[in-house]
Amino acid sequence: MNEHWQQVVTILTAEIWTRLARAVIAAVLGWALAHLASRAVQRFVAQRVDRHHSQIAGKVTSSVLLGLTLAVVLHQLGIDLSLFLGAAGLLTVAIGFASQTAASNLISGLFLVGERPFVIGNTIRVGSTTGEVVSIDLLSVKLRTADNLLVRISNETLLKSEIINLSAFPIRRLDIPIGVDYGEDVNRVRALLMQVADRNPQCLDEPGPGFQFTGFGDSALTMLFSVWVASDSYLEVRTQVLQEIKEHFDAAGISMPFPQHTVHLAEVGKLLKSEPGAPAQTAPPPPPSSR
Amino acid sequence: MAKQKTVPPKPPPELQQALPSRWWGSFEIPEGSLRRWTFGPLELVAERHPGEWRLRWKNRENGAEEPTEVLGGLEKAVEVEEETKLRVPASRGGDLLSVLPALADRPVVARPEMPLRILAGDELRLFVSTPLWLRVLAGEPPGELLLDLPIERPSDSWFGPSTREGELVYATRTRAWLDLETFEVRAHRAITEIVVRNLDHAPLALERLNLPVPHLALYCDSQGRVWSERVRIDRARVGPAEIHFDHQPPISAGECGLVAPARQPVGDNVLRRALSSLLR
Repeated sequence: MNEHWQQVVTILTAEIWTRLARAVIAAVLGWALAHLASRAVQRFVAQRVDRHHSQIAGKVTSSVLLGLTLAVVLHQLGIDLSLFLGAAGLLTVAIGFASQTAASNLISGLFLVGERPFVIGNTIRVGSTTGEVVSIDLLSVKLRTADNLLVRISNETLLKSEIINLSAFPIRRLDIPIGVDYGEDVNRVRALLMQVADRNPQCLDEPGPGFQFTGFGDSALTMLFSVWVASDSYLEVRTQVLQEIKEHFDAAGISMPFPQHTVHLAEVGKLLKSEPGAPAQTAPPPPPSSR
Repeated sequence: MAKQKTVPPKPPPELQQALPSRWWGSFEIPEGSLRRWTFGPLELVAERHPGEWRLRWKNRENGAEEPTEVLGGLEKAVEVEEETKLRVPASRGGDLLSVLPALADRPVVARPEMPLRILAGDELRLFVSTPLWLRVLAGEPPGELLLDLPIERPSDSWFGPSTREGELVYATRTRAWLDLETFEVRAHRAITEIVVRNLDHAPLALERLNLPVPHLALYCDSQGRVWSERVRIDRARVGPAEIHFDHQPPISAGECGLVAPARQPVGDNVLRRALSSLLR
């Protein structure tokens, strides 16, 4: 009986349990420390820089501390870390090839962070995608489109693409191309358009509205009417101004022609070739022309 | 330009406090009745229904030159729900509704019809008018804010050295009166006296003036005219320009009473800003 009891005690006091206990404690403490440190760093950076940088700083802090925790846990378990170092060389090459894209995205993300072409909350256009920036992560940026879709764009793609930040500045210019009938008086059209801008309080007084006579189109006189608006109300004012232009033009009898072609038909008599001595034959006259 | 001497109007001897204009103040509107106001271009109707206030308002075409007044007395409340723009549950404040003027919620850029030039070492005093806002509060003063809207919506504008730097403001065209006697006062606009001192060696051209209206308090004189506190802008030889706030009614207004405090009070009576953010 005593022998069995001694065996149990021996097993329970074996060094392995001590190491395991230390490893668990280290893991728990390490995880807690990583979590707290990440939150503290995020708060610190958010107060001094912005939310975007704070998210990244928090994730980097958490990753580094969890990595150190893992090393401590493995050491406590008695695993020789030099084994990993030995294999690290080969692993690095393998990982390097496998993670080219991820590494490129990561580095591109750092460049984007430094350059700051946009911040969280801005509305940007990348290619054909327009949306609000909801998060800037290590490998990608996420946009929320106007119809509430989530779009993920890799940082590498962003760095190589043209990014249009639609909300970088508080005001924006609204350009409206207009075509009017060739018979219209340009000065009268201009006066009406200025009236539209003057009557809408959301069209900025300064910079003031602009008018350009841009050319003689195939079907109409082409003009460009511009007003400046607050960026936040761009879409709303665009709808208002377009509607008001239509209403003013209708009231003033100014027509905006759609593409058209004018065909002029002329009567052509045709002399047909005939045998010598035979009377000359002419083609019958065509039906009355229409324009 | 020669200095302008201030000659304040003589206050009536029995004046103890500013006489309230008839268009603002506190009004009892019992349940089941309504009151109608016309503030120049804006018409406002406030109705007291069981347990709630209903407010509706509209802009009147060509109403800018109309007088500001309370039309009639109490009327019976009507069920015109499709026109109601705001319904607010009535709190413990009972049947009392206050209608008060306020200054704009953004700076206002005053643009004189003709540019002015202030010579080196000289000062210019001018009077401009800025649009008033309307605040409707329910209950005993200070009351619960129900509505805050412009009587006459001014045009948005931008003031700054470029389209990247600057701020969104309101625009108002003004004749920039130099003489208070000839000033055309309209009931739904506030008068601001501005003194611009050019302490530099070079003349100062004044084409636009960015008034920090949210920092100004509102007063009423014995004639029922609404004034903001006076503003003095000093163009220094070096460094930023200084804006001085008097934190009291202007002398030109005579005896005045406070109508509304500043929306954004300024602790100090001096603000320093780049000249380009104030004058152009």
